[in-house]
Amino acid sequence: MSELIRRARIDAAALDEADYFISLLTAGRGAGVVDNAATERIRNESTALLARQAALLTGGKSASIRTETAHELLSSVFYTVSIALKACPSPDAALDRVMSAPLASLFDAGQAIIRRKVAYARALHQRTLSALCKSDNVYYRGTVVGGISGFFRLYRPALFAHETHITADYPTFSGEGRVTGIEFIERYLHNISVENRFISCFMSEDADRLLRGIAEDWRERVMNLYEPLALAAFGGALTGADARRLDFDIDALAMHLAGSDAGSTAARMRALFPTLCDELGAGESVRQYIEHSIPRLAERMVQLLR
Amino acid sequence: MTECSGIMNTIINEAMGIDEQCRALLECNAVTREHGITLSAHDAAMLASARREALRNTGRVEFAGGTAERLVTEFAASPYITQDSFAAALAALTELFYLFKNETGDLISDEALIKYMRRTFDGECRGSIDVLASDALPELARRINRRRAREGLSAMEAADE
Repeated sequence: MSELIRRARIDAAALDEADYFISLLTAGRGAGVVDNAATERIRNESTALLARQAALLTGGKSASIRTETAHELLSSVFYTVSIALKACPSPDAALDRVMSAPLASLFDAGQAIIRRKVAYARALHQRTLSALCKSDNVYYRGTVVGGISGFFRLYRPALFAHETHITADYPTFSGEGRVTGIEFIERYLHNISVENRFISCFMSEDADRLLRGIAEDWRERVMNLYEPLALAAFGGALTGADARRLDFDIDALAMHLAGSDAGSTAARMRALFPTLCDELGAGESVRQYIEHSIPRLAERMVQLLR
Repeated sequence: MTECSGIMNTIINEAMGIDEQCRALLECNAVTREHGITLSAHDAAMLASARREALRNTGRVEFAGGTAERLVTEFAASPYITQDSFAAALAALTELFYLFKNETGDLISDEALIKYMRRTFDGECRGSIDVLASDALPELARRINRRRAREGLSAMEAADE
């Protein structure tokens, strides 16, 4: 049986999600899969692709471009190739594809995926806008409405696929990691969409009361709204209060969790999690988001109760 | 990112080989001969090196080539160019070309810039590369940048809408 199990050549943990293609090549060299001939071929094909992109940028009207522009074009090429490789079932499969397919075909495949991602992100943005919760936080609305719209206006995936353009001032709870471009927007919109649905589970008056208790000027602060609401919902669930009202006895919670560390707090939160989700009427993606956030929420809860 | 930058620098710095450039320049003799101008192998090597230096000095990279050859065939027909002055003049004109591609924000095509350089070199500059560098080309850059400022404002207004 053991000979049927092929040991992975590439350790996924060693790959950089922000620089996937290059980190895969580096790992491939370390594993003895990418030799000098392959490196030379990839370098030559990269040069050819860069020349093609430069011609596209200038409309064929200029044989030269600024070096900084060339760097950006090449970053976009590598970003696009990375997108195609991330779609492979495993890093080993991605490396096999690098070794067997011309870089131009990986680039074209990456562009096709990027176009699909942009179309999906636009649709998700529209759906999120149509269901945007009544939050008065200026950064929440500013980023979700104006910031993301700005991205779609400025994004040029054919030439500068790696650029994000916007700063996304409003922070999501889960964060987006180190990705850029459409990958960042995709993750950010997913997080915003799910957090928006979670926030919509509560009456705006209850949420406002809670947030004013944290900071009178919460409407003008750069702060994530999901975290305090999720903590309060779990606080209610843990103390037997109505989680939907975001109102519970903090002293009762402190007594309930006395002596508990983050690990045991998280275990208690996990035990209550299904009932809480049923109470809130949370859909599947919201449930997954809440479940994924339990470890950090538990740490925060323990911190706040100290 | 260090690996990526290293690969980028290697690709960008070796975009076109010197031998390839020399060959392309010498092929221009088929055209320049009609005007009594011929590039020697030494001239071609000097011009290829000057082109590389000019690209480095102006922070540019060229993939397809053709700029130096285009300058050679265009200026070989100038009444102010002689066999003796040709190679040195072309080296200076090459540097000016890339410099003013930068100064004009890459808003003018290679062909249009070369045509402008030849027209003004033969015209108001009366064959002086110094006057071309200090008057005619800066004037072109000013005109283009004024237009860019106007169009840039329009683009911003459209974005706000």
